[in-house]
Amino acid sequence: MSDRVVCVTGATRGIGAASAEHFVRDGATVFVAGRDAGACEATASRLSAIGPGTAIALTLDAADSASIAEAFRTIFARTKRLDVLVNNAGVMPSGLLGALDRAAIDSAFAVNTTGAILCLQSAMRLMQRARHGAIINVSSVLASHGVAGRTAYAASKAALEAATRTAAAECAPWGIRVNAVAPGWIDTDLVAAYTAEEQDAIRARVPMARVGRPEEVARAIGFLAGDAASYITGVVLPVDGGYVP
Amino acid sequence: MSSVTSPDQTDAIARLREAFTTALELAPDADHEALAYRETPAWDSVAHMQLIVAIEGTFDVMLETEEVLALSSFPEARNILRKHGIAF
Repeated sequence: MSDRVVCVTGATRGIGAASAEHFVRDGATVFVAGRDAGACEATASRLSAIGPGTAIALTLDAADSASIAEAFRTIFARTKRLDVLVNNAGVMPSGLLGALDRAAIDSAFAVNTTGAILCLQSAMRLMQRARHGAIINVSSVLASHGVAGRTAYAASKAALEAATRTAAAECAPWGIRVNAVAPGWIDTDLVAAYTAEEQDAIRARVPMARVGRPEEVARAIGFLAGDAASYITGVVLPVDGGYVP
Repeated sequence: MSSVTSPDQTDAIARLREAFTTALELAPDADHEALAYRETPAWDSVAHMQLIVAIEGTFDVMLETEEVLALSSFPEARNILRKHGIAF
């Protein structure tokens, strides 16, 4: 990855931070993208110190189309190219269906679906120049398996998986692969928000009987981004310890 | 008052013509000024993306999505590229 340019959205924590670190350790130039400019700077500084790759802070609000456009203009101005996009930025509104307000639904789709598609679109256009690239969307096992209280989140991730398959077909002639990972129960802030009851219920359904680590998802993302996955596109790879719904 | 075309402007027009010719697989003597998206047979949605990539590569610019959608003729391509600092 030493000659690759990577952008990771939602890169200041959890799976995004682990993915950015994975690529920096692999020698890539990594744009650490997120809403909080200070957090992006701090994460980029930390990762650059690890090396051997380089991390560059990039402000990107996945709920704001103007912010997305500006971020990709910055990538173009800085590097003129993009080899890998990790479309990770996400929100997880929760609430039982009867008490789910419109704002929560809109928020889930604005970031997890619309924002992700806009990032995918901008990345694809940069990658088309080189007729080469890999895009990895970060979905969730909840896109395929129902858990009470996650209707908006699950629906937004299922839409992202549909977008993954369609974009893969459209991008393939350009040499651009589009895949997704579907993490299960991973030790991140999002999952920490689960209730104790929810966590117990999920643990009981994971044959590996443990929480996954962000770096384990990052390694799957790294695989899909790399040449080892050169003939893989349009798939959703579960990273879930064998989660059984 | 007559306008004067500089060598750079002439070169830009020639490069834009070449981008159109290559992306749309036009005959060398094609009338570029008459080209129209979805009206010129060779200029369908697939060819449009080929054209956008060719123009961006030729002039080292990144077009906005709105510009990609608005680029529907040779004159419009010139107008859009002027906004990116290309002189015609």
